[in-house]
Amino acid sequence: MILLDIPIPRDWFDWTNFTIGVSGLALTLWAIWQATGAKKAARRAEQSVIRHNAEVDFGSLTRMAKELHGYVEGGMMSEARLRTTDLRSELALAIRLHEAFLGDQLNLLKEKQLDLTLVTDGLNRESKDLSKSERIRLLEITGAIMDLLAGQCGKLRSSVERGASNE
Amino acid sequence: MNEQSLGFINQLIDKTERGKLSWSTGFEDGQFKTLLPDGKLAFVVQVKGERCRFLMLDDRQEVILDATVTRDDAHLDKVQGGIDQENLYEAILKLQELARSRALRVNEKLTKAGELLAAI
Repeated sequence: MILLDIPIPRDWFDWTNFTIGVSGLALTLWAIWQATGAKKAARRAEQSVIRHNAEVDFGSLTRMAKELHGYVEGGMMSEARLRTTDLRSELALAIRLHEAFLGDQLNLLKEKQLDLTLVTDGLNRESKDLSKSERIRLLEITGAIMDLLAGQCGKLRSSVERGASNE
Repeated sequence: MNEQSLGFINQLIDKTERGKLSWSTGFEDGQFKTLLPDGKLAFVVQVKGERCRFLMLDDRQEVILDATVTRDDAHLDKVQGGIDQENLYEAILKLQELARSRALRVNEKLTKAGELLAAI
């Protein structure tokens, strides 16, 4: 039906019109295709930047967790108490900012966040009177947090590198 | 506040008895914690010495409920004819014992210990 509506070119004027129309349509389609590609590339670049920021943030958290674990190992409880408070607030911020990249690790990170809350609370009340088992648990908790954060940082780094090599 | 805490504690006791909640050890002695799916809420129960404590935290780990009761508070309340503190005290004790049992897998370990001793 549509084909029947198209006038049949009869002279050179009709043929020129027809050619220009077809070329215009082709150019429009090509421009749309290019724009879609550019939009996708821009989105990929944006995701890559956000992922890179997440990797930097988790790298910094890993360093803080290592420092905290060192303080606990060395029995420096007042330093550990301060570092725990810092790590707790920084981890909460990182979880909020990068939730989309955390996947199945989100629950584990929230569990560690709860551990930090309980440690902060406990150390604020009685950091000098910790029992032997509490000291052992504190070492386990800070060690587990350090491992989890380092693992998360590694995952983010590899995903950034994979993204860079795909581009 | 205590009534609300008691309501949540009773719900937690029920869910724990039905095996719908998993508990793990906290930081302090006698402290156990559970996190709801996606970390939307967390509950902490603790019995340390004569002090019983129940905490409810939101997804940002802010404390929403914090109920602390000592054996003396409960006893005094009972003497004065009140039941609020005593009920809360008893409920926290019960929940903590259940949480401890789940977190440390007490029943499984007792069964295994029985088997090991029987095999000697």
